[in-house]
Amino acid sequence: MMGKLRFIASQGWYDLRYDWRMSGILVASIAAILAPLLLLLGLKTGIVTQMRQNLLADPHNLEIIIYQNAHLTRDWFEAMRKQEAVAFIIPKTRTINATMDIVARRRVLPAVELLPTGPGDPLLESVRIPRHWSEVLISFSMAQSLDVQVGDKLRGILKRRVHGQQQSVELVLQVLGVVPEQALSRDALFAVVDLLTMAEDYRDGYAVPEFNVHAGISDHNEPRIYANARIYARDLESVASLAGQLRAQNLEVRTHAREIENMQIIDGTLTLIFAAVTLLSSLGGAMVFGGSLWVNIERKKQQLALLRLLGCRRGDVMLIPVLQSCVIAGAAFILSVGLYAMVAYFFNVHLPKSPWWPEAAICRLQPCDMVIVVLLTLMVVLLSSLAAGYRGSRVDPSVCLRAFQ
Amino acid sequence: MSCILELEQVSCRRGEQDRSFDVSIPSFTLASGELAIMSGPSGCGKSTVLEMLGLVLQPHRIGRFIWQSDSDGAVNIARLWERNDDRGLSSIRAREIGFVLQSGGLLPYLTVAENIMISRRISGLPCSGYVNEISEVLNIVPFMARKPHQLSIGERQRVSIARAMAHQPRLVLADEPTSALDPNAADAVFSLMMKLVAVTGCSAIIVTHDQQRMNLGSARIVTATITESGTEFSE
Repeated sequence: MMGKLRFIASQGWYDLRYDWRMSGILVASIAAILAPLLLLLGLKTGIVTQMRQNLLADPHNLEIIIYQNAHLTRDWFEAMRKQEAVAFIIPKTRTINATMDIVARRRVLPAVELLPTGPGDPLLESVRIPRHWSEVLISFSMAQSLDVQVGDKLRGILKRRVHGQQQSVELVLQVLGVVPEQALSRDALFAVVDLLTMAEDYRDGYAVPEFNVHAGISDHNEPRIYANARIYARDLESVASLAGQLRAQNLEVRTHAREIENMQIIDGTLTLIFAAVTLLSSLGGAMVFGGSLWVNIERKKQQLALLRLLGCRRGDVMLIPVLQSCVIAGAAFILSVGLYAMVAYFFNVHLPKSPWWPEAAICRLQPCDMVIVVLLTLMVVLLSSLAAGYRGSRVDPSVCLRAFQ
Repeated sequence: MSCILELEQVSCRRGEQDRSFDVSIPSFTLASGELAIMSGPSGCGKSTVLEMLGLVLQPHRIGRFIWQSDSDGAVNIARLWERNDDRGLSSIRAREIGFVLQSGGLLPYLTVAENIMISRRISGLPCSGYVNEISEVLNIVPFMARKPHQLSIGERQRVSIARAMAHQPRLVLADEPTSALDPNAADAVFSLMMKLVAVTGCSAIIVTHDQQRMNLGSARIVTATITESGTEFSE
């Protein structure tokens, strides 16, 4: 059985080699379809991946902004934190920013925005997160305008009016790190929630022992209510559902949904275009390849008839064009990948890069895409070769008794 | 001597409806080692007879068609055709028949050596010194590595004879083996073939329209008789 298969395979191989011009044309005709398809698939994957990376690289795209004064309780935060879709959530004391005047090296920055942070803050992946109320992170622009560095001390000044009398307190804050400009481009301080709530308490007239302020209302009876929150979704897909859920709680929220939607629409559109082009060119390819094989069988009728006359069975003769097609498909695939690699290299070197993701390739193919392309090619080629093989197996062996060569 | 072929009332209808005619063999037997020359004018149906004997054309009517196989004993060819048994017919062709075609019929993509060996490979036989012996007799050893298109017609014909005999078949069927050759080459090829048939002891049926070839002492002569309904081949 193996000997027979080897014999048939060798006949197909010798014939392909002898008839190298025709084999070359068949390989080229498949590569002409396959190489642009690979390129299109590579571009689609590259572009969509890059858009997704761009969106992901900017954590603001995962943010859900509540733009109203809300009444959010600790329980509400606990419940939200447990949700799968939530990557990070932290309470804010005010909707319009909590602020503090900052003094450093005799320079004063009035009303600097105070943002709460904590472990897992998606904006602050590369910096140390403050743990104590006296530790802060400052934005890059603030570090520049105050000319301070990590480890420096800042003075934070809070003011309040009690019974018509102006009071103020000065806090010493240590700079734990500088937040890169991509994460936040305006002047701001990141601090633990405690600093914000204590600043709020101070303004509201309470005594704050941590600030060494013992005058004021001493007991805090009401449970704490937060006006707002910083919320980040786990991934791009959960942004919309999370926003929907908050809207259902009568919260007015805003997201970068449009950018995400755009990316998803472009992804969907490109996939559809790619599928349509693939379908059309596969059909065209099957017809061209099947037709060429068919004509080839007509050309080689005498040879096939001779093999039949010498005692090869129908199935054996049918196998010849099928095996030949596999070899042709393999060669065409290798040629196409070579062509693809050259053009993709050109694209990746010469087309503009994303600022977020400079090392990302514009044209790229994943291994599973390759496997799908190989299987599809093989399927198209085998189907068209089966038709030709069937035609070949029906060749009457007596053909070669009547006229040969 | 035992018979290898027994035919009775075997015929095939050829041609279009109005001009159709029967090519028939009323009775024919061939013993092993026997040589038969089949002759008749062009177009009388010689090739049709050869195709029926070579198991590639299904006769329309079969009274009796027995093939005495070395391995399987008497094989009823009529049954194989009835069942459309491609495997059975193919394996008899592969093992027990050698074909010499009008103009060589060699595969262009194989060398001379590979072309000769193909009949052994198809019937699953190993290489054998026998192939060298017949190649020497046919004087084709010098161009074993060439492709058919590098040979003259006479050389191709000699290669074709080598291929027909390389697997030691019981029967060699030759269809006008010398018609494409000039008279001298034709004589040489024909006598080489006769020599090989005699040496190997196989049977042979040679179809020819060349009357001269019929003066072979021991050969049985089968001639075509044209009747109203077609052609009858008989001795």
